[in-house]
Amino acid sequence: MTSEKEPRFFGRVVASLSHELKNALAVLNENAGLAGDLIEMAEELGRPLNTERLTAVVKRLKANVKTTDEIAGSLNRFGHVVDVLEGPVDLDEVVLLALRLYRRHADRLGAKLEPSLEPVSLRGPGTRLEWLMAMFAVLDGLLGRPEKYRRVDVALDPRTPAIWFQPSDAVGSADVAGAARSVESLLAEDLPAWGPKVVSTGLAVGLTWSIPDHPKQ
Amino acid sequence: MSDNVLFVDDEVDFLQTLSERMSLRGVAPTTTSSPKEAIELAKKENFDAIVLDLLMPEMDGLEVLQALKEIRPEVQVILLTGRATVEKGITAMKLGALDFMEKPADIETLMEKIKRAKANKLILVEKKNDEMIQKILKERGW
Repeated sequence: MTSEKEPRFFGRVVASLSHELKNALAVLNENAGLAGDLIEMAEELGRPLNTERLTAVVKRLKANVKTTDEIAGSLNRFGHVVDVLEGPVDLDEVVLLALRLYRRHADRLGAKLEPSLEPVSLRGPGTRLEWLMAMFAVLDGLLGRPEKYRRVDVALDPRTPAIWFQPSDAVGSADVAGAARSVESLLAEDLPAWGPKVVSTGLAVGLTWSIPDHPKQ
Repeated sequence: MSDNVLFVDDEVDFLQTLSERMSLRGVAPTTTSSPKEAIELAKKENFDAIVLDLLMPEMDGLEVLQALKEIRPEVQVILLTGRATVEKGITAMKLGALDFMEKPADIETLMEKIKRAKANKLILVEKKNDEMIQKILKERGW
């Protein structure tokens, strides 16, 4: 990967997650404010506190603390992807992280990302950051297509080995071969040293790599 | 008379709570999480102000702002967003947004901006009416 691409990728992910955090904080802020409004109103009017409304506010506050914590956790996991830069990568973990980090962008494009990961442990070459960047390139390639896919199923296949992305529910006519070409050209601009290859079955686009180059497997 | 305000945001929890708080402050809120529906609502109703999220699925907030200004040039739009870049802010102001606020926002500041929006709209509507009257007077030679 080029040195310019990596900070740009970090910027993209951090901007997206911080936007999610700000939205979650805005919900917390409004609910805390509403609780304050209800208390102030009861005091001013000398009426008993509306416990039903207050209970609903508390429920929303708790749910949004959980949401905020999940976003902060994702940000933390992303920050740690550069901790280990050597050795094989646990792809099941990286795939789930990539789908989580890409979620807001997919939502904005009206698409759902569905991991259908069997409990397999698949290890790949390269670094976790390179894999995340490669998976983002695949998703950008698929979801940037004119046929506008609204769903992408993602699975690991230890036999190939590959990560398969199956786009479906297109607004236009599905063209997976065309999608594979889009992914290939995006990845070509940004090819990691371990040289992943794009393969297509006509139904899905796969990100694969050659086994002989695979270290410690 | 209460302020008639449209709130557009894809965060439903945020919309629900903000509209409850606005109601307590005498605002008559209409809410939608769909930018396309917001445009339809603005065609039917002349809101005192529209509070609009900048980043939403379906349509970009700036596109919505442009569409709203085409439907009603006097419409007063306050942009409320989780992520405000300087470029977006400048573009929004050039497109005719009244103001730009970052989330989480202070409700009293937002209320002040809504009041200002309503006053601005009244001035623009009065000016438009005056121009129309002058035009009629001139055309008919009264």
